[in-house]
Amino acid sequence: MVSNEIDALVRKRCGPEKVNKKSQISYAVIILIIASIISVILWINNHVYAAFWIIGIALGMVLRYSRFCFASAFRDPFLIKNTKLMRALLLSFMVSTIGFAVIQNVYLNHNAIDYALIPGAVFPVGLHTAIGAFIFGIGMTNAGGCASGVLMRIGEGHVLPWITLLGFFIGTTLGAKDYSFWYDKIISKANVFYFPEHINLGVVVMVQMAVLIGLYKLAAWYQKKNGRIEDYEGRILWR
Amino acid sequence: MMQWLKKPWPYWIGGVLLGLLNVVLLALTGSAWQVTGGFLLWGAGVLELLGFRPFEWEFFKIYDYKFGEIILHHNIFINKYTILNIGVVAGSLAATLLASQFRLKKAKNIRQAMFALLGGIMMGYGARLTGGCNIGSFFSGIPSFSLHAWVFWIFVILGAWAGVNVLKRFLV
Amino acid sequence: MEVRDLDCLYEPCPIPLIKAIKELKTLNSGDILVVHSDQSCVGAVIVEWAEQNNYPVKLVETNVGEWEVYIQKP
Repeated sequence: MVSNEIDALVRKRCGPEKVNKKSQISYAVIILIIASIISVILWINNHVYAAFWIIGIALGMVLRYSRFCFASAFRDPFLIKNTKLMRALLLSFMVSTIGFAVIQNVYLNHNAIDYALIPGAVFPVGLHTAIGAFIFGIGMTNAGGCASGVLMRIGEGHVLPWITLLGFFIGTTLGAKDYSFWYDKIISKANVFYFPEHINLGVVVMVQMAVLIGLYKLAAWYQKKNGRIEDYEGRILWR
Repeated sequence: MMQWLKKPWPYWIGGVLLGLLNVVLLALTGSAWQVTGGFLLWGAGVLELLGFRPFEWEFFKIYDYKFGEIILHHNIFINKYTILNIGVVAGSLAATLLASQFRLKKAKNIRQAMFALLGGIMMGYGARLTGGCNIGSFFSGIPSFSLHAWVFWIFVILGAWAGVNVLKRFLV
Repeated sequence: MEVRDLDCLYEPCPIPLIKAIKELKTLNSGDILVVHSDQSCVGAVIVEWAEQNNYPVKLVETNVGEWEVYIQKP
């Protein structure tokens, strides 16, 4: 929605000279050239390193360009009753669910199930997951960003996330040091629950997609109930 | 051109691309996107430089399949996890510069810095318990069909809700 | 019509949003709130919130890495 009064005020306060017209594109080109040189060096030494480097850069650019923030995705549904980011996250899960399923299918056809070697992230589930995630959630909202958000904001030039990063080092090292305590008390008794071990992978994928689509619809309904919902998604996705 | 480079992308495009990139990373390298593994190696590496012996902790014996080779070859500071993290920073820096929006921004006050430090410590500790942060354990966990990621999801939302209330009371 | 400035420079997300919502409650209909921020995501989040609640809103990039969000109380 536009307002004539806002436009008038913007014209009065931010004349053409006040709006940012400086260009930093030349610096960006320099960074990208340096990044390319580094990828060539990495490629010569270790092909896998080059893949990590290039994908890392792509992830950073996507995070920054789409203003993607996991902390915000978890927080906005109840803070401002907005589920747009949560829905974007659900979309990303739909894409990665299919991709991971193909990769894991190849693995499972040739190997026995070994949790450590299944491509992806498979960890024991139990009370420790709940405690850890809860602590993580509190920290995430108070530090102003999660792990990926910290890295993205460092790239933007913020100083505060450097402090969060320092905290991260301290916390994660402490956590590793105390791990034997948690391992003895909880984690050693907890089991991995890997769905394809119990049900056929194809069925798991279908059920998971159905659940994700269901959650997407629920999130869209929740936002519609609490205000406007943009219509481009109605055209692109099921509604 | 400049307007075009400045324009933010819609969230849903970001979501789809992040999902795709995670799949590509897994297909190319065999490991999914994770962040805190790299942080841990740096933290432990600094401790080792200071004369401690962090790599003898039980944690590194349990997660030998993840870190064993890196520790064995003394690639504590430069390895696949840390290269990925530095890549994310470099990518964000490049994108910020392309949009001509880079500026060094100071912290506001001590109180804010303390919250950032405490928040970081809580995230770091929580991440170790669950097997990773919301990227390594959750974002890569849901498509890996592991139940722990769904539990993570429920409790990280509860944590975020509690955190917002803390924030409203002390920081706003 | 009152114009009020809200300085949220160097404040991380979501503090500017919470402050803006609080501040808007104390304004009268037709008044304009100008939120100053240096967070790229703040623009997105506040504009998102304002549009969802049918508040006229405009985001202006006033300097390198600094934004002003204009929100009018309907």
